Amino acid sequence: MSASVILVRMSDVTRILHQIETGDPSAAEKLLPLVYDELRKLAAANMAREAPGHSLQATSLVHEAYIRLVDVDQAQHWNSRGHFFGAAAQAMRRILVDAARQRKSEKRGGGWQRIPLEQVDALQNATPDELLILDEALQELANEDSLGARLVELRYFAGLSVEEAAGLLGISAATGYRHWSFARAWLHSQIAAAK
Amino acid sequence: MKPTMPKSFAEIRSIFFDALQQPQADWPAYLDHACAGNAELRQQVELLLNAHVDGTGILDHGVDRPDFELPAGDPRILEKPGELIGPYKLREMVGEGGMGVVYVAEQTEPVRRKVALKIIKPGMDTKEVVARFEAERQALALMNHPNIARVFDVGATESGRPYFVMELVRGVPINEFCDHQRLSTSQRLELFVDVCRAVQHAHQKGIIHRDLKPSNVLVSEIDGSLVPKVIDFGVAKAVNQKLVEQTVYTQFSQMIGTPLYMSPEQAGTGVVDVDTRSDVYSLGVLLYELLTGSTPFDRDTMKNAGFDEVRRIIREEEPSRPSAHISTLQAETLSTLASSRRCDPRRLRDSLKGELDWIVMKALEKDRNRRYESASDLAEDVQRHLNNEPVEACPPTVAYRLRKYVRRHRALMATTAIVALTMVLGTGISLWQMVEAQDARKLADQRLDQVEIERNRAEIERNRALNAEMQMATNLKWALAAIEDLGLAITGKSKALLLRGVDVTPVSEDRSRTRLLTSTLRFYEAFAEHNKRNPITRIEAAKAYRRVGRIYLELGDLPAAKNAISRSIAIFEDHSTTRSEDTFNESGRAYVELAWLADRAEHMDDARQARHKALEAFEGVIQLMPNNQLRSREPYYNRALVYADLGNLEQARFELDRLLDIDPNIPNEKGHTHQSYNDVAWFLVISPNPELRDPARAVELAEIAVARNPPYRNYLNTLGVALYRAGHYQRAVHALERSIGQKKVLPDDTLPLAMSLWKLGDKERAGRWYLRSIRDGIDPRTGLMMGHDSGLDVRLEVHDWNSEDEVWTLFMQEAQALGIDEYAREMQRSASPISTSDDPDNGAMEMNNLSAEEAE
Repeated sequence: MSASVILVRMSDVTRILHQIETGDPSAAEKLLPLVYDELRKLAAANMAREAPGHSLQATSLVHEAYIRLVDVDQAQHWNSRGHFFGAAAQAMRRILVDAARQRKSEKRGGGWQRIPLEQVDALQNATPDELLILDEALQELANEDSLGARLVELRYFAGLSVEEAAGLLGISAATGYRHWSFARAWLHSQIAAAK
Repeated sequence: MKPTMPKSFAEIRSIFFDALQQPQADWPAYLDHACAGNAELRQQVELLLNAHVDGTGILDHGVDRPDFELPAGDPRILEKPGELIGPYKLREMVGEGGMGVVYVAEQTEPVRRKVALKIIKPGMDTKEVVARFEAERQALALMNHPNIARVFDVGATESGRPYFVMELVRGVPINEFCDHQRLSTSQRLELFVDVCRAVQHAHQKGIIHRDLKPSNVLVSEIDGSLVPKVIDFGVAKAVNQKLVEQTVYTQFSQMIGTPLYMSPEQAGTGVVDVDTRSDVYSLGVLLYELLTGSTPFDRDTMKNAGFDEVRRIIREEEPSRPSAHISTLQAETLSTLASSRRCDPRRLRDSLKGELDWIVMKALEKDRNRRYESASDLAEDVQRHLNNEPVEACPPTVAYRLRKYVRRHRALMATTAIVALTMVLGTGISLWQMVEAQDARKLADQRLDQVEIERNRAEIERNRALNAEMQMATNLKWALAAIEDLGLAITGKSKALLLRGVDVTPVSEDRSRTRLLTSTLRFYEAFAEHNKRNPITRIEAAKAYRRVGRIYLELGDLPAAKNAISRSIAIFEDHSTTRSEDTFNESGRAYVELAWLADRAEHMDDARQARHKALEAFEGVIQLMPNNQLRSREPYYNRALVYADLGNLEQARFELDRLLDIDPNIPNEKGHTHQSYNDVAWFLVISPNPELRDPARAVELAEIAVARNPPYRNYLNTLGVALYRAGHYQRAVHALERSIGQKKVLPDDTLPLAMSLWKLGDKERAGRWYLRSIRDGIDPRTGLMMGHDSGLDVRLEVHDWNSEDEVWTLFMQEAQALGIDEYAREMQRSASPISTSDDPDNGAMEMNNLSAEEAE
């Protein structure tokens, strides 16, 4: 099973991270699909491995993906982690949101399979509705407070602590907490209002 | 219906944050004021504030790891001074840690007192935490120790966060306290002993701390004395049960704090099997930090390493010894470090080197079976160090481990295997490598002839090959030294003894030793034969023949011994052998041995002739170094010894005068002057010829050397032994205790100290030091110091002493009377053949007695 998981060669991601570090703007775009792929495969592989009913941890997957994809010896720098987790958070967000959409359309009788849904369901606690509202609200938030939105993304989808996320975004922990507390309150109020 | 994004987003944010600065109760009034007349704005802010207070949103659930490392400044800290948490009224906030926030709180029922209330940050199953705590509660209640802060209670806040109620301790983390107060190393050690005792108390009540670190050991000054208090007992167990498991994927940067103090078994995967020795490890880390200012593993490295790497480091990497660690520091850092310990850098390093290194490293052993059994064992060893008593911890050298191994596996086969193993590891590989290097050189030589154009390149290669060969030769020397060390351990005889040629009891009745000696012998013989024609290794071969001769002496085969030593001399005398300090010294010693053999055979002429040859050889060294260098003092000393044997007292005294003529202000290798005074004093104390002994003059000379070189342990030792000889026992004790206080505890101090104390009638202390000297390599049967050249000298003292059989008997009786089982066992163990020094430096392999005596 594990052999099928590691389809992306480690060095690819490490190399891309290095390109980003050295200022190649196009490199970042290559990162997301690789990470996205890896996360999906990991989810599938983990589900196959685990006993039924075991709940997967989305953020664990992100970290596992990091360990798998990034040659830590070569990418020691905080920045490279930042790029990776930024991409991973986005990728996880997409995976979960896509699955939520899929789930909703399935209820209406349509839809096509991308990832078996039970695998994705296991990754989170939110309902598809909640997740879609969150996704939408996050986009709105990004218009007003892009820093806060990215922080939420890193925290919620990649499982970083507020302080780690703040570190990645290059802001102080205190500033990070301010953004987080506001974003959290705001998003929660949006979700509560939408229900 | 979904509210639209308000136009005044920034305004809402600003009011939201302002409100958070105030107690929740004041929010309505504040909003009345801030949103005056703008109902929509107010509604928006209220929504946000409600959402903020409500801890159950998707973002809290969705994040699937508990956030108990939430650091300082978290605006989600809702509790405000004045609020009631259970029966506790919060006062000021006094600290924020990785795990939670600490408040001073007032308790009114059942007693009125101030307590510390620690609210754990959200994210864990409160019920489980409380249940786990309750399970330990009875045990915790049993703890009653002045250095332990009690934990009274646990509960949960309304929002479901667990809190702990503890004795209020107003103190500073121990490392910060020590640095701030500029406590000296010994003051730090004293504090540390208190901490260990506290932890031991908890262990006896069945409580393991699991999270010992500086911030959990607070120090305050009470009535002029320093009182450390360990806080948070029982908290880690209740809170951190799943720490390891949960952090596997998550923490890359933030886990710091815990893993630095985490024991290897805590850092393991799977079922966390933690016992009290895990706390011993953490105490070791704490001690390391108190002594060196940093943790054994670098904070930044751990911070930047992935979790698997962190775990690997904790489980596999050997941290550097404290003294080695501070040697790597930059000068500036080091001097800050030293000054915060009221010390200068060199003294700081010296003070760590040896015992403190061993103590720390023993506490930090990866395998908990090798650590101190308990926190109190650790405390006692530190206390022993403070009292200048011998410590239990031992330096983990290869030789030491080998010997330990030998001790555990007495069976002949095992010991033989060890000898073989050492040969293979040390020598076999080197030999093989050397053959390769030789081949490479030959090839290079051929090329030199064949291709003129490639000359330069070939020459470079040739040099490289030669260097490699030289390197191999060095390795061989080390291998020989290792074998020799082991050999000495087995034979239980001092090299100096053989140089001196004093009576050796044949050991042929002891079959296992004989066989062991024989196998060592075969090694040396093979080595000598194999190397005698190689110009680079022939000197080593000659030395090996000397060892062969000595082993035959041990085995009682005098003709074979003579044969081997003669072969050694033949190589030294061969015209193709380069004359050097080394070859002169070696052949001089070989002649001394030959002379002794002749003594035994009562060939007096041969003996005299050999001694004159020895004198020549030692004179050769002097001639090689005509410029009055201090290094040349050894041949004078050796010549004095040989003249003493020849009965030529006048000439012996003349050699000593020559020694004293050397400018005393030329420093020795360690930077101390007046080495020659020390050497002459030493000679006058230990001369085998009683007529040459002059303890009074020895005291004079040694006192000069000591006075010019404040506390130098070698000189102090000489002085101590001289004073003992001169009958000034009290002063001898003083000098020897000073010597012991300088450096490691060495048997050449401890044995005369024991003897002086004995003379003063302090039998108990005498016994203890005697025991220690035995552990460090004094053979109780002979008074010989094993593997240590200065054994020669002390031996002569103890020889007088041990010759009175009743002394031995008295010691045994003493041991029983004192009820020291260990003592008696130690005696017995030491009386068996394979018992030896635990001090690696006793095995200092330098072949001349003065240098070995120099060994720290």
